[in-house]
Amino acid sequence: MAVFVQQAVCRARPAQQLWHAACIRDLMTDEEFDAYVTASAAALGLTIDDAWRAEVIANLRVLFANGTLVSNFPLGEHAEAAAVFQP
Amino acid sequence: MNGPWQGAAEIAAAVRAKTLTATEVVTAALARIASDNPALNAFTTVTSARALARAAALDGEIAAGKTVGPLAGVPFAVKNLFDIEGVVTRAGAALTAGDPPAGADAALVRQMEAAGAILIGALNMGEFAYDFTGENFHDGACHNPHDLTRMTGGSSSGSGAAVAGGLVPIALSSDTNGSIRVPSALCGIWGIKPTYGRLSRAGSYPFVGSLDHLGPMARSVADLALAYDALQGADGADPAQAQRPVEFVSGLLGQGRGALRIAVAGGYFREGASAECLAGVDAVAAALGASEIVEFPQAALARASAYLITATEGAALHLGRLRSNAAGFDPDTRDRFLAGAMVPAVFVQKAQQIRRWFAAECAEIFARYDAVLLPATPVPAPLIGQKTISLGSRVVPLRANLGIYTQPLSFVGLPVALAPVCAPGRLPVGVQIAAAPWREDVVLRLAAALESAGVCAATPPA
Repeated sequence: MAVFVQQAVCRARPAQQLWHAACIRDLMTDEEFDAYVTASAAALGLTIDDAWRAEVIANLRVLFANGTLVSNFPLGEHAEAAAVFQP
Repeated sequence: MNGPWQGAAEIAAAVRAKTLTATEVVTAALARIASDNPALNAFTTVTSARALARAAALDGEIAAGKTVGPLAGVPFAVKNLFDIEGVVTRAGAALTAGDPPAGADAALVRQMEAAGAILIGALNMGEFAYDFTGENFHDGACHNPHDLTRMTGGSSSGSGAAVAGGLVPIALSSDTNGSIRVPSALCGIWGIKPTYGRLSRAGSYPFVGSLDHLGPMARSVADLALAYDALQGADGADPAQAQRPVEFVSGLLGQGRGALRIAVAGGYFREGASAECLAGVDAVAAALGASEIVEFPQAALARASAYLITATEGAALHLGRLRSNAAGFDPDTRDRFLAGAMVPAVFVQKAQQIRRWFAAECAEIFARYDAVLLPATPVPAPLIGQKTISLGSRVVPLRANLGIYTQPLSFVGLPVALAPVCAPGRLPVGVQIAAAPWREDVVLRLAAALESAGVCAATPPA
């Protein structure tokens, strides 16, 4: 089963493993997430009530975990996105 | 005749044959809503006057000898994100309550009524469709007709409760990550999420434009196919709708399993699923003679990508409200939207690249197989208020994980029928039947074969 998955990855883009080098680093520390939420909220004009903050950070952690997983997947620079604009 | 479990096809036949009037059908449905909805909490709006007026008009047409549509006199209801002329489109939110009423019906409401069906109301749903539970902070939780202490699933919660509870034979719903398939599974009814771009979304409240689908839920495959056929056709108002011909399926349901190549999904789609849910898949596989196992490569990655696109597109849609009135959201929805607003764009762009890659991988699978069988949810209906579920030996948050088996398929827009497996004394479970894009005929043909074999059926609550 695991072998099948690995083959599928390699079959898709065999020569573009270098993408690993550009991957997003692993999750931030608690302090870094807290600072990130503060700065992002300010930049976006959002107010994060103290009562919500822990849950927002918990959700953001999940999103960054998914983002890291996605970013680490080797596809390479020539992979087209699904959303291709057609005039 | 005219009981709560009467199907759309039966109703339409009786109305056309003049053994039942549309007015009698609508009056009975309104009475059932009045008596049973308080326990289910499925409806948020009942359009009684409109429904009775349309029923009277239809009865007049029939009396005058005019030809009426295949859904003549069939009552239906819609998730409250569909526009209904004169009604505020709530999308499950309190923040929309002050919006102006819709100026016209949604495209699919118009098409159902053009086929003779009669809109009878709008249905409860998870706030802004960002939900798998069926719990709504503002309107209350929907209750599963098979066990009122349990979730319907969401976000098309009212649709699941109304159809499974015998209030209407057909409901229209949306599915971004599983919102037709999850409540259909937990409530034990049929559903179809057509191919992305098949049906017009014009006049429906969006959630994630690049993943939003609309489709019907029903208690029989024949009714599901009748509704799906009525819903097809381009209206030019949904830029994501594909230029596809209308491809009717109702006449193809009797073809049976035939020589279709059918596999069962392994790997990711069996990991963590409960014994009940896997037994449902295995029963369907045995009935269809499907013994080969196929693995969708990187299904977890596909699900992660869908998760990111959902959070970020949804947050972008609601950024103005998040700025001006974040306290007005359902807390469970608000905190996810706020987090979604803070996700770097590089994650999302990569997720969209993975979407194309995964679609190509799926195309290879569906070159080898006509259909693949998968579980719909990892567990049967959880208790209302439950916060976690078990995936094998792991205890995980319920909201984020009830749709783990539906998300990878909607991520690449595949057509999926949801087949209910019901047994006396047990909660229903659902099986997804997936096919290549535009092959709704395959998934509905297999659904009909399973129904004929008595393996899958929507059964009345005990």
